[in-house]
Amino acid sequence: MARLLEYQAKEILRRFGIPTPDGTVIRTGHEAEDVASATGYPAMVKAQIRSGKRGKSGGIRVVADDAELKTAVSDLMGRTVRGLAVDALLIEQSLDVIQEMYVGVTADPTSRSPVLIFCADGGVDIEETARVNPEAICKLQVDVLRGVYAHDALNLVRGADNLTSRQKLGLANILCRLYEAYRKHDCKLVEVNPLALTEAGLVALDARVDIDGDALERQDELDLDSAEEAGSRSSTVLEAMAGTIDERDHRGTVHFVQIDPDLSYARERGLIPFGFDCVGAGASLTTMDELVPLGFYPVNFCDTSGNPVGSKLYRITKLIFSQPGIQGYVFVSCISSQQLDNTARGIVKALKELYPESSGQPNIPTVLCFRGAWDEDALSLLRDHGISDGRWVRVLGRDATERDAADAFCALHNEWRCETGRAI
Amino acid sequence: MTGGILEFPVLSGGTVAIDRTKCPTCASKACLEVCSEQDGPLVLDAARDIPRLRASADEAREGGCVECLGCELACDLTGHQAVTITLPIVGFDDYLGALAEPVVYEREW
Repeated sequence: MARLLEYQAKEILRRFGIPTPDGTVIRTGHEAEDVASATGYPAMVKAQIRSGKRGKSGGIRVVADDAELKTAVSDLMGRTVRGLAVDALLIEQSLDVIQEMYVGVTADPTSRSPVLIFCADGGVDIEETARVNPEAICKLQVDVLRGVYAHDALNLVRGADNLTSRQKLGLANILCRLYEAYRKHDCKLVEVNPLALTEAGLVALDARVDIDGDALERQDELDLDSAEEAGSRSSTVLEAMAGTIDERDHRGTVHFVQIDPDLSYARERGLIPFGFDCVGAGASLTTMDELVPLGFYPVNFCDTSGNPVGSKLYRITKLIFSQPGIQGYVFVSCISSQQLDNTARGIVKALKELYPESSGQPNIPTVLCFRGAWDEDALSLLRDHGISDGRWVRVLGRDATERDAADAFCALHNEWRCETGRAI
Repeated sequence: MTGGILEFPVLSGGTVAIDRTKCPTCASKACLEVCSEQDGPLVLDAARDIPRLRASADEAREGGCVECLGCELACDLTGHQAVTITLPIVGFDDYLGALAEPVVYEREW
């Protein structure tokens, strides 16, 4: 999934004719004054991060003049809000709001259809409204073959007693356009909260757009990277590269996320960071469960599944080994039906390139556990190319469990640490 | 008559290059054996005793080559190291260049 920043989401809304406040994105402090002089005061200064509750966390400021603007920009730019780095601010006009509402389109897994959502009480506490007063949330399931007609949307909002008929028509129109945007851009969620009723009409004051990650390839115009979903933070450089690798070849999948990109979590807790690759996410979790209590921490999650080609394994292995500070590498396959000889070839080619002087034998503890289809061929490849003979390599076959792999890695790492004098 | 370099693109981006000047004296022809197991694009040009493409470079680029990497690894082991598969990773060199500390495979322990 790709969650867009607010200003990107608003760009999409504007393309579909949904009004937003006038605003500009700045990335340096000295851009601010020029922008504000065009926007006027009062103005909003909004941190562009992938998180909700920005207002409550101090990530949104209202400024009345140049001095307040300068202070707000200085406070926010380059700082963190809700643990996320702020490298862009949206400065936009502040509007007088008569009423705040909520409108959205998302996918309903129960009905397996898009659902339009409207609530006349929008704003910061929509989640609380949904909990204590669920009747206030109006929903409409959409048949994707039929689409949404204006009268469907009008039926959805007709209960908003405090709106005039003209305002309801405007609201219905916005809901139809929101649905168009949702479909056109393969969204998982398009949300406007709040949708403000102002003297000038309805205006989207904040917006969220989440694009389906599997559809990014056909959303070229949005110019997004195709990295795995990594929570609310932006994707790392390696994640973006892995996303591109996966996207460019449909044969098998690779899912790569850096759990601890700067090793800060592992260091804080005295855990030993290692690079990690699994065939099958279940085996991945089980192996992590075995390794973490032994004092190790996978700095990345990686699942290669669906019978990926050798080249995909080659590339992802190079990425995993290029994570700074790792003190080992663990590969474990589940009892897999995928062709593990191709998997092994990818790993062997990568190791031979990374370690040309030792013919592919790594200089860090490395456990390779192949279980499943063509596993004997995989083990033969490792033997034939001399990888298995490496001083810091242990190769396991189909009789091994995840616990065996973890124990082997732990023992190997202890030896490696003693011999190399490497501190934890 | 040796055929020179046979080079063809692959689906994921990259190339397979075979220096066929080395092939006539190769007894194993291991690249062909592994490629045929995958129903890949390489076949024997019997007249010249060297590998050639079964169809066209386009067929290989469109997925005819399953990128198992077997030809290169097999040739490394039992052939004359005539196969080179180049699989670039967009942005990887820039990433490595920007790192503050060396990656593990460049360290000596």
